[in-house]
Amino acid sequence: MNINFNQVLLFAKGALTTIELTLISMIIGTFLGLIIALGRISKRKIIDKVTWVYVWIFRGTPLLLQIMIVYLAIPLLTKEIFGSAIIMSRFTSACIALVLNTAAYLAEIFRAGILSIDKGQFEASKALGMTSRQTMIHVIIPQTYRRVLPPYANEFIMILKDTSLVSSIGLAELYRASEKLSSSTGKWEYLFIAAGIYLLLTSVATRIFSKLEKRYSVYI
Amino acid sequence: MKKILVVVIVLVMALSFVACGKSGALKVAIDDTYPPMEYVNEDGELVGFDIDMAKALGKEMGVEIEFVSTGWDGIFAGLSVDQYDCIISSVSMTTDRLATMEFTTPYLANGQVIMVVPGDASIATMADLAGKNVGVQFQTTADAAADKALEEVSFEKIAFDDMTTCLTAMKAGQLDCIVADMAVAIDAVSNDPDKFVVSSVALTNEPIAIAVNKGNTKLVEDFNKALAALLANGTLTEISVKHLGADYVSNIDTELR
Repeated sequence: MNINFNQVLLFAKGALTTIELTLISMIIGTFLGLIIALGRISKRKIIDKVTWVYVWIFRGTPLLLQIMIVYLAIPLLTKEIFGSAIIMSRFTSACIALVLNTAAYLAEIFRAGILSIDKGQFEASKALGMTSRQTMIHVIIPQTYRRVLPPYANEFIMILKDTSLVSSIGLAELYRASEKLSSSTGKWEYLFIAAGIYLLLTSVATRIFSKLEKRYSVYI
Repeated sequence: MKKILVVVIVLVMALSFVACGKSGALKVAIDDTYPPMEYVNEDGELVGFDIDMAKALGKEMGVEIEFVSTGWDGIFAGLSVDQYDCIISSVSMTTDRLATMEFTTPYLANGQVIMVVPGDASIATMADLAGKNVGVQFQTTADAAADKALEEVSFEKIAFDDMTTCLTAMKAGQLDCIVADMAVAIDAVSNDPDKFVVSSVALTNEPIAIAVNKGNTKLVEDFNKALAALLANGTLTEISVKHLGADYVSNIDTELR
């Protein structure tokens, strides 16, 4: 089977989009997830309840559905209710859905990490006169890195593969590239090539997280 | 206890083998997200032009029809490995496809048209697509036509896996227009005349026929005989009027453009 340059380009562009979507959703999702995690731990009941509902909805519905809702249902709904539709491009819609979804899962991961820190740490910080915020930022959260890295790496790898779902709104990412080539030529080899590229990407990510884990377990 | 379990398992296996063998039905592949040709209606029933025609063909040929629901992007691959006997799913005849599969005589006139929002008179030819968001169904002849147009005009082509999502996207305002089969456009306009209107004459001519795996010429002959009979006795015209509002089955232009 000959692969020509155009096909390589198609796969490369697709892989680039996949990486872009993954990085955007993980980076923004991390910030949002952390905020929500802190909200879940908050002593103020209302913040706890609101963040609980958020996590419940975005973990409880399929990512594919979320993507469709942002891309299609939101414009239709806002048009009906407000008269003018809120329309977002495919890439923006995909990013929004991915970020919201990732943040929900990461919030629970971070929350578990924070809750697993010994209560004594909180008490000692209080005794030293640190505010809640100082405690979190300087004492607690740094200690959660080691515990949070394995599930975080897990989520990263999952999202990297879940980006294939954005093909349903016509975004040209890696899976789409293989779909296009294999269905127009009838050759199944392209599917395996895409699988190989996904494997390469996830392996690189796994390696990086492995190194990070080693670094953070220095004090064990 | 163990003996009873073994006997039960063997019986179940034997029964399922028997059930396998009994099916002598003609397997017909369809992508059932394509109104008005093949789709699932509000009551969850499989309906459409191709569905009615396939059932009529089955009666004429004396075989039972079994519909196999397949996504469009794998439908030709499935045919080439005989996962089913034929595809009756608005398959356009094109010169490329003639090389890889067999076609019966065409049963429906068809071509690509452009659908726009009513009141938008700005798009009538491929050249007018410049700068617009154009929706097509992924890996269809409309997709190929759009790719060809992209060589000369620059626009944003958005390809969806299925037609129903494409139509919803245009209603939501994500698309300025859709390039699709004439039959799909006619149906969309009749269902939502305030959302869709056909803006151009047929841009290509691609009559629709039944696709069969290469080498299966006997099935093609059987189909052609049955199709001719259905056309002669008016059944095809009836189905055409029922789903498309007019007769598109007589005097089909068979020149591929």
